[in-house]
Formats: sequence, structure tokens, C-alpha cells
Amino acid sequence: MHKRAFGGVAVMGVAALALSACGGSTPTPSSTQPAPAASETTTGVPETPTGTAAPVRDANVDLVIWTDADRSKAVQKYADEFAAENGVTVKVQISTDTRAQFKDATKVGKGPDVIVGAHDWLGELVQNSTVAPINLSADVASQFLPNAIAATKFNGQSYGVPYAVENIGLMYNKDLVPNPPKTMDELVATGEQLVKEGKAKQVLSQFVSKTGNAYFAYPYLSAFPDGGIFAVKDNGDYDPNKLLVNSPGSIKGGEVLAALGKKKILSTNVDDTNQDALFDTKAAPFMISGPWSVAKAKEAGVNYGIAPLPSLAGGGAMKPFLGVQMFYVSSKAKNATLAQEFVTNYIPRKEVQLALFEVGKRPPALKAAYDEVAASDPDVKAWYEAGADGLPMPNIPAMNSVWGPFGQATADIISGKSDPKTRLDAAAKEIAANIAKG
Amino acid sequence: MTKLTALVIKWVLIALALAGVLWVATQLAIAGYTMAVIVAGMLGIGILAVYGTRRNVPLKYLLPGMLLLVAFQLWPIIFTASLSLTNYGDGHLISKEETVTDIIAQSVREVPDSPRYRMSVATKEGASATTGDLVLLLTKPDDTMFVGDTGGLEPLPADGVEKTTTGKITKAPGYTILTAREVNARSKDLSALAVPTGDGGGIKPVGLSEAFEGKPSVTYDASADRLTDSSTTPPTVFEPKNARWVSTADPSVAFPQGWQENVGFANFTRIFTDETLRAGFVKIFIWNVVFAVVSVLSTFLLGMLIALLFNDPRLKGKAIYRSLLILPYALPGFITALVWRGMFNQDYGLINGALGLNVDWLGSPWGAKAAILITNLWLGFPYMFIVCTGALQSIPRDVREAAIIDGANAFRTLRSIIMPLLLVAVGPLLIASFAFNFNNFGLIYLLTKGGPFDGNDTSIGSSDLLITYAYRLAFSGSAPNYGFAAAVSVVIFIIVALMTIPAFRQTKALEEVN
Amino acid sequence: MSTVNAPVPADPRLETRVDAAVGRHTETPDRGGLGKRVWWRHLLGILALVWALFPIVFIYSAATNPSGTLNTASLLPSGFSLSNFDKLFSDPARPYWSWYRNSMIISGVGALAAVFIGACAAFAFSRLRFTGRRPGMLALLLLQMFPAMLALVALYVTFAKIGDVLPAFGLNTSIGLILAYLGGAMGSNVWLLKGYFDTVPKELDEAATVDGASHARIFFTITLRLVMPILVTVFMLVFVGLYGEFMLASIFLTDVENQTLGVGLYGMTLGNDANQFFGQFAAGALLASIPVVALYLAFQKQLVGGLTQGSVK
Repeated sequence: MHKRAFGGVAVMGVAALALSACGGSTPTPSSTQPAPAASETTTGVPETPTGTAAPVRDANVDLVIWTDADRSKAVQKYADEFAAENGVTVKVQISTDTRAQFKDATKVGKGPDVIVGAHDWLGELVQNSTVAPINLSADVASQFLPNAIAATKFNGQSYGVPYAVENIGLMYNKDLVPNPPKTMDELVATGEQLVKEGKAKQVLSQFVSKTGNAYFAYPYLSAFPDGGIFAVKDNGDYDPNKLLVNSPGSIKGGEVLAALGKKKILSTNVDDTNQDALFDTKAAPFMISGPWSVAKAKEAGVNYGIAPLPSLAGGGAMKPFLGVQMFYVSSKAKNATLAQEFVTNYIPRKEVQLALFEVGKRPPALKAAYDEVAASDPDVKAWYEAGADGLPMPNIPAMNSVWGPFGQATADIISGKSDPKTRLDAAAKEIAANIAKG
Repeated sequence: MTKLTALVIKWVLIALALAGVLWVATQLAIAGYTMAVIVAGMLGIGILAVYGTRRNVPLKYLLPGMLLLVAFQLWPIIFTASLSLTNYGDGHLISKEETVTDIIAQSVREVPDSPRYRMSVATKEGASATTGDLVLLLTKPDDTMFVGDTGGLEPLPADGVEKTTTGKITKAPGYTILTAREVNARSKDLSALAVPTGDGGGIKPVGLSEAFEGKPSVTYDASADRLTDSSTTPPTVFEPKNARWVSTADPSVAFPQGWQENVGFANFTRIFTDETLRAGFVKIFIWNVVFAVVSVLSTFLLGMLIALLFNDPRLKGKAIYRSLLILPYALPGFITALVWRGMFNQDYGLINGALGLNVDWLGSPWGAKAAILITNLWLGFPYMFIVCTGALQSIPRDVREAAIIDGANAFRTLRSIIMPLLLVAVGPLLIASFAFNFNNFGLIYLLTKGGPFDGNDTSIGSSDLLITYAYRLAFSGSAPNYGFAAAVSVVIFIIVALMTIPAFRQTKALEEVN
Repeated sequence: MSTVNAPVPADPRLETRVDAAVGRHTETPDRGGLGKRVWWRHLLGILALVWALFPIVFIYSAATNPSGTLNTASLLPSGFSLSNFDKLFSDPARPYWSWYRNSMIISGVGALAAVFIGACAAFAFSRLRFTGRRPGMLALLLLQMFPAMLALVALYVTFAKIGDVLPAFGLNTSIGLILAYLGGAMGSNVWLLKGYFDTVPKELDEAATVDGASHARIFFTITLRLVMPILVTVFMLVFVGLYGEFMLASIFLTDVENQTLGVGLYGMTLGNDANQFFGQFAAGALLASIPVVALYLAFQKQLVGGLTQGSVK
């Protein structure tokens, strides 16, 4: 038994070798003639026309893409098409934690050529010199939603091609609430009425958690003039030196959080593990969440609707952060040319954007693709409209200094541990100190 | 087995090991690692000296484990410790030279109102596709064609040229157009290639079929060691400062790319001088010790009691009990920790619900600590149960039976006979368990992430262990600083070691009883 | 001292106590309280089971609940369906059975090798006397206490380099991962093993030495046989440890087909869409516990098989 098990490992090791060789080896002059064969069957990449011999040793894949498990199928399909069109081989690998793994792997020269990720990684990626600029022509760039293109820029340079935009909005149970509330006061009144009638157990389900969540708390601040996290520079970039966390507008937003916390409409006991369940079991008629919550609600048979976030009394509409999903090219890409070609020439295609929409159900970043989807899918249109006023999440590295302190501050305000002004002042002080340290 | 067969087996194994070493050495030599080849050679001699002779008996048993230990445990620790003398961390991962080339490359912007070219990559006819000088065959939007190389741009005569509908040249006399794969293989040369257009700009390829005219706004003056960004008015000059390029005019303006450099003992000085850090460190340390001690004792006591409970030969259904009892251990810890987190929820959790409490388990410092200890007891007792069940077998049956039968003195028997005997076997394991729990990252991370956090400083949580704290410093916190985290780890290590040595002395007493 | 079959501590007071206890046993066989005592054990046993199992009920109910939510407010499973299992087995981007196989191979081979290496080392530490013995033991223990999380980066870099020269042992290979795990094979397990080796009477190997047996012969034919219970126990512990490990494995194994259950399942808990997979995740975790329980059942005889019987008879 011992022997057999070990034999199994040896075989596995060889297979792994065949698979991993593609990520690592530099194209040597001789690598132009042999076509990889050993790993082909496992990835489903078709045999390429230029392939003549098929030596097992130098299985040299021409382009390596890292993406998450769900996106992999859609990416694989178009990667195969790209491979056939250009006579090359492409390998799509699934990574569980792309952001961290990409950094580690690139550092030791084992990184992929292309990664799929969120736009707010950008600052960190640039800081570590792991991504390369992408030069989309003005024509192509203008075919995308302006916010999506803005999100791919850092210090005026562009670093990727977007394919989807996501943001949070208000999900409501149509069986209990026929029309979505326009204001938070209306939402609270409707919800409390439902609780009183015994039709619901609580008003709202929103991810707060004990350590707080800056992403979900931000819209309460952004509803007020000059409320938010960073001020925006003239060129559209966020300014890490101008914190808004304790601006008068932000403090007003903090007061709303405190009031809602006092009424138990927001609670630090709601977090990522139970927020969907509360809405899906109809305990809460309202939930503030994003497209990722839709699949579960559908499965649970909730008659849900999606609406923009309500507006706050004394301020305006709550404006969510936009998150943009995009394709990056590694600055250490072994196959920089093909990587550039794939990202600049393939990802902007409508059918690619549509395929990626199918797996994530986030509004596509390409206008033409969005228009086509929005015409038939009311959810997508609703998510897009819920994010119409939103700004892209800051992608500057300084944002890493914000998540922890700012999130905790909002949690403390909601739980009533601290009053908004004192707490936001303290958070601003801590964030500024951290930015200075970084 | 006769002496001869044993001898044959021994020498076959030695030969195999030496062949393995030789193979590794050859591979290393091919790759050009001279030092590693020497180490491999010494290893081969070492194997021969240990196993080929009659001497060094202890080493014969220790060598395999020692080699693995040195390579995959000791070396990583030394490596980590050495990083504590650097500023290694996000934004400081590369060398200074790399930051310069990177900053210049990233400052390239498309020249305003310049055309986009359709492009094919080619070599002069007869030149090698893998080494020949690259030329770009370019088509302007107005269909005029050019040849570009490092010398500049020249018109391409239209005779014999074939193009696609989009304008990409597919055939040109005197040039061999490279295939996608051939072009890709030249990616490095291609990214270094810019067809000069005068005024510092150049035509650069984008992918396989497009080229644009770009120009870097940053220049580097090597003699003065300054970067100058001419995209601002007036141009901004950057000087190297704290491993970053910082504007000479406004110190708050800097390029995000910094470099790795040695900082000496600065990280250590910071640990011992930063006031909040020091106060926090003491707080974390005390809780860390309490956590580890209570975890070891509670899991051991519960595991031992249950092991004793089922150690009665007359008890029926032991197999069922035992296999169900190890389920907490059989399930992956990260899922059960997640379940426990849910159960500790103040409003929706089972624990408050079933017991009629309203404890803010995860949101109050004491609640979080209690929740962690309870969860760890649940996660850890089956381990102790298994170990104790095994170790109880080393206690002679008649002694055990005496303990079982003698009801009046069961506790005394347990305390004065079973426990001492058990401790001989599992005593060392309790120390090891202490070490494990002292660094029990997963539990804290999954349950509370170190929180809840104090209002004014979210860098230190009230359920933080030193390791979760170090992790946050290194990887996830505000400004991930691996070097500093490595320094913290070294300090943790020294403290733990100092604490363990006295405990180790105690084991001498245990050991010599035999 | 004539303790051939009993590893009784040298403390003479203890020995008299043992004698006293044994003596009392033979004098007063307490037959009357027996049934009562076993019943009492069952009661406590059931209590222990409740404590051990109630959190697992949630996992079970999440796995069999079609909507697959983690609802920790009530203990009762709501609804029953195997749809989560169906989804778990049919997702090509999350090849559950490959993970299963990889986990079994990596944990199995890793645990076997670790037990062998550990047993060799424990034999040396327990039976042989050499300079550096106690410092060596101390060093082994201390090395376990370095915050391993931080050293992961160094391990990663090391194996990246190894992979450049010897691709079969580099990143993304099972062998590489097993080797990395084996770096810790000499760790706390050696202590556990040595503690047990110490309880095996030395007189046995002394007698064998007199008969002219070599140290290797004693080790392989006498000692290893006598310490079987602890070898099996350590195998279990290492197997379970490796089986649930995901920190090192997740930076090591980037290719989804090469990943282990720990990495794969943990990956399902990451990201925004994690809630969507909770049902599958719970189903996968439940199935993942089977090998450990099976192993325990298979080894139970050895785990509880008497040590002293072997040496006396």
C-alpha cells in the first residue's frame, strides 16, 4: 500500500510538472518550434496549427491567465478562441486568492501573464510594480462606461480593461413592500409597520459586523455634501492627503448611523454570514447588498426587487462605491505581447463581455454589452441605476489604511459605544498616522 | 532476515541515496548553482560517512529528519529573521534600479493627437526570427505605410505589399512577418523597442497588431540620483528618501514604488520605543499566555476525563462513542470555527438563544476571550482524547483496573497514579500543545480576527495573539510591513524560548524516571 | 528496579501506592456497584456526545438544506435535499473528487513519512546517549514555536527556487508540499514518540544486545513492534493535521486540479460570492470528515491495543 501510494504521488508530480512548467519557463530560442501536448488534454486547449512536434519536457504555454473559479469557464472559452485565432496555446488557471498569490508568484518569477481582479487592487499592484500599463486607443476606451475606465487609471496611467461594474443597492421583498422606499425614513416606517404586523422580524439586513465594514457604511457618509473618505483631485484621482472621514458631512452621516443603530435597524450582529439568510428567510423585508446576493434570494424563492439606495433626511441620496472588475497584465509577464493582445483586443469585444456577464451577473462595463443585457434583464438595469451616482472605490494604496480604522469606527457608532464626532475624529487621526507611516 | 540480506539492503539504499544526490548535483550544476553543488557534494559525503561506517549511530537515525528540518524549517526561519533587518513589505519589494525603470516605463503617455498604427512585427528577409533585429511594419489610419526600427521611421513602398481589411500588413517584400508565437517569444526585445519619432517620443507596439506613439514624462539623472517629472509645471524633482522617491518641493508627494533596503535594527528599536506598541504588546502577551495555558489545560483535562470514561472494558458501544467524539477533530477547523462564530452571535446565535442570555460574545473584550476559549476547548479536546486513550495503554492493566474498581478513591487514584504515569507520556506533548496554541493563528483569525478593537487604535485587538498581530502587520493591516512583522516574530520567538527553557528543565525529571 | 512490564516511575512512594491499589482490587472486588457505574458512564458519554456534536448539526443542516444557509438560531435541520451534494460533485471549476484524492495522497504519504522519520529520531533520543541529545530535543521544541505564518513566505521562495532546478519538487507539486510538511516531521511528534519509547522497558533491548543483535535489528524488530500504538496514534494526528492544513497548501498549490480539500473548501469561503456556496461547502466538509473517522475506526484496535501484553508474552 505504501508503495502504491508513493507511485501515485510520483505520477501526480509528473502531471504537476507538465502543468506548472508553463507558468515558469522563459521562452528559449528553441521553444518556437515545439508545441505543448502533455498538458493540453487537461486544459482543453485545442491543438494548434503551428505545433509540429510534441515533446513532453518543454510544455511551453504561450499565455497564462489567472482567474477565480466562476469566471474561469467564460475566460477559458474566449481564451481558446484567442488561441485558435493566433496559433498559440493559452492556459486559464483558477486561483483562490488571486491578489495575494499574484504578488507572491510574481516576486519569484512564477506569476501569470494576465490576472482578473478588482480595480481597488490597483494601487497596491502599482506600488509593487507588478502590473504593466495598458494602452487602449481612445476609440476603444470611449466604448466603455466612463466610471469603469476611470477606475482602471492610477496617477493618470491606465492599467487594465474593465468588464463589469458592481455596487450595492437596496433589495426589497416585493411581497411585503410593493414599491421601494425613496427615503430612509420611509424605509424605516414601512419596515417598522411590517414588524408590528408580525410580517417581518426586523426592518433591514445590512452587513455591519463587529469590526465594521467600510464599504457598506460609506454610502451613509456620501449622502451628505463633502461626506466620504478622500477628497477627489482635479484629475479625478483620490487625494490621500485630504481625508474627509471626519468632515462635517461625514459626521452627519455618522449621526444617521448612530440613530439607526439605536433603533436596532443597523446592528453589529448582522454580518456576511447571516445577512443573506435574514432576507432570504423573509425575516427582513429590506437588505442593502450587491449582485452577489441575488442568486441565493432567487433560489430561496424570494420575490425580490432592486432599487437605488434611499436618500437620507437632511442630505441627498446614498451613493455607493463602484467596484470595477478588470483584466490586468503583469509587468513581469513572460508573454507580454500576447497578454497585451488578449487584454486590449479581446476583452473589449461584446461577446466576451456578455459571456463574463453570464457568470457574474454584474452589469458589463462595455456600453454596447450593457445595453443589450439591460434590455432583457431588469436586475442588471436596476443594479446599474443603483450605482449611477456612485464613484469608484479609491484605488490608491492609502485606502488600505482606511478599511480597518474606518470600519471599526462605524461599528462603534452603530453599537452606541461612541458618539459619531469623537469616534470619526479618532479614526481620522489613526488613518492619517497610518498613511504617514506607509 | 539474515545478516547478509540486511547488508545488501543497506548498501542498495545507500547507493540509491547517493545516486539521488548525484542527480540533484547534476541538475544544480546545469542550472549554474556552484555553491549548491558543493553543498550537495558534502551531503553525499555525509551520507556515506554516517551510513557507510559503523560509527555515528545516533546520526543514522537523526539524519533524514534533520536534513528536512534544516531545509524546510530552520532555513525559512533564518530567512525570515534576516528580513527583520529590512523594510521589506508592500511598496518595498523591488530594488532601487527596478523602481527607476518601472517609474519611467509607467510614465509613458500617448502623445496627444498622434495616430494609432496598425502593426506587424517582422525581421529583414533572411534574418533569424529568434535573434534578428525587429522591425515594425506600420500602417497609418490614412493607409500610408512605414517601416520602423531603432533608427527611425521610413516610408514603405506599396509595391508587393498585402494588407488585411483593417490595414495590418501581411506581406512585404524584403521582410519576413513573424507569427504570433514568434512575436511573443520576442516580447522582451519588443518592449525595449521604440521607433524614435524625435522629441523623446517613440512608436511602441500594443499587442500584436497595434502601435501607438508614446513619450515618457519622467527622466532619470544618474549622476545626481534624481527623477524629474516634466508632466507638471514646473517639473517636479524627486530625491531618494526613506526608500522612496520623494518630491523635493512637497514631501507629501512621492511615487508609490519604493525599494527594499536594509534598515539595521530600526524595526527592533520601533518595537521597544513606540509607546502604544509597547503597551499593546504587553497586553497581547499576557492574553496570549493565558490563552495558551488555559487551552492546553482545559483540552487536556476534558480529553483525559473522556478517555478515562471510555477506558472501561465493560462499557458497550465504545467504538460508536469514540468515533462520534472525534468528529470535531475530523471536520476541517475553518468550517467549525465559522459555525461557532455564528453560534456566538448576540442576536441570532444559538448560545444566547438557548441559554436566554444577551451576552455580546464577539463584541466585548471578555466575551470574545471566553468565546475563543470555549471554541478551542471544543476543537482541541478530541486530540487530547486520542492521545490520552493511546497513552493510557502504556499504563499496566492492573493499575488501570485498580483505578476503575476502587470507587471510593477514584479521584485519588487518578491524581496520584494515573496522572503521573500519563504525564510521562503526554507531558512533552502538553509543552508542544502550548507552543501550538501560543501561535494558534487560524482560530483567532476565523473567530474574531483579533477584535473587538479599541476605539482609538485598531492596530491591536483585545483577542489578538502575537501571531495574529504580526500577521496583520505583515500582510493585511494599514501598511503591510513584512520586515517589521518579522522583527516582531523574532521577539516573540525569543520570549517564548525563554519561557520554554525552564519548562524543559522539568522534563528532565520526567525523563529520568525510567 | 524490577519493572519489566510496568514503566512505573522511580518514586518508591508511588510504587507502594500502585501495590496498594492493586492489592485493594484483589481484596475487594466491588461487584455490586458495577452496573451502576457503567450506566453512569453512559450518561456522561451522552453528555460528551451532545457537547461534541451540536455544532455539527448545523453543518449537517446547511448541507442538506437546499438554500444552504448557515442558520445558527435553531438546532433543527429545515428541509432535506441532496442538491448541495449534486452541485458539489458537478462543478468542473471546483473538482471535489480531485481535491479528495490529492488530500488522501498528500496526507497519507506525508503522515507515513513523518511517522517513520519521527520514530527514528525518537529511538535515538530515547535509547541512545550522545552529546547534544538534550539540546537537540530543546531545539526541536523551540523551532515549533516560531510563528510559522511568517516563515511561509520564505518557504514559498525556497520552493520556487527548488522548482527552477528540480521541477518535480517545486511549487504546485504534491511532492514539494509533502517535503515542506516533512520539515516539521521532527517537531512535537518526536516528543510524543520519545515519551512513549521511554516507557518501553530498556531491559528488552539490553537483552537483545547481549544476544548480539545490532541497533538496527533492535529498532526494526523489537522497538517498532512494541510502540505500535503510539505510531498509529501519531500517524492519525499527523494525517489529520495535514488533512486540514490550508495555509501552506494554498500558497503552494495554485492549480485547481492539484489542490487539496483544505485549500479548495477554504477557497469557497472567500470573496463576495461565498454565501452562495455555503451549502456545497458544508456538504464538502461533511464528506471530508469521513476518512478521518474511518481511519480512527480502522486503527482503533491498535490505538487501544495493549502495549504491555506484547512485552510480557
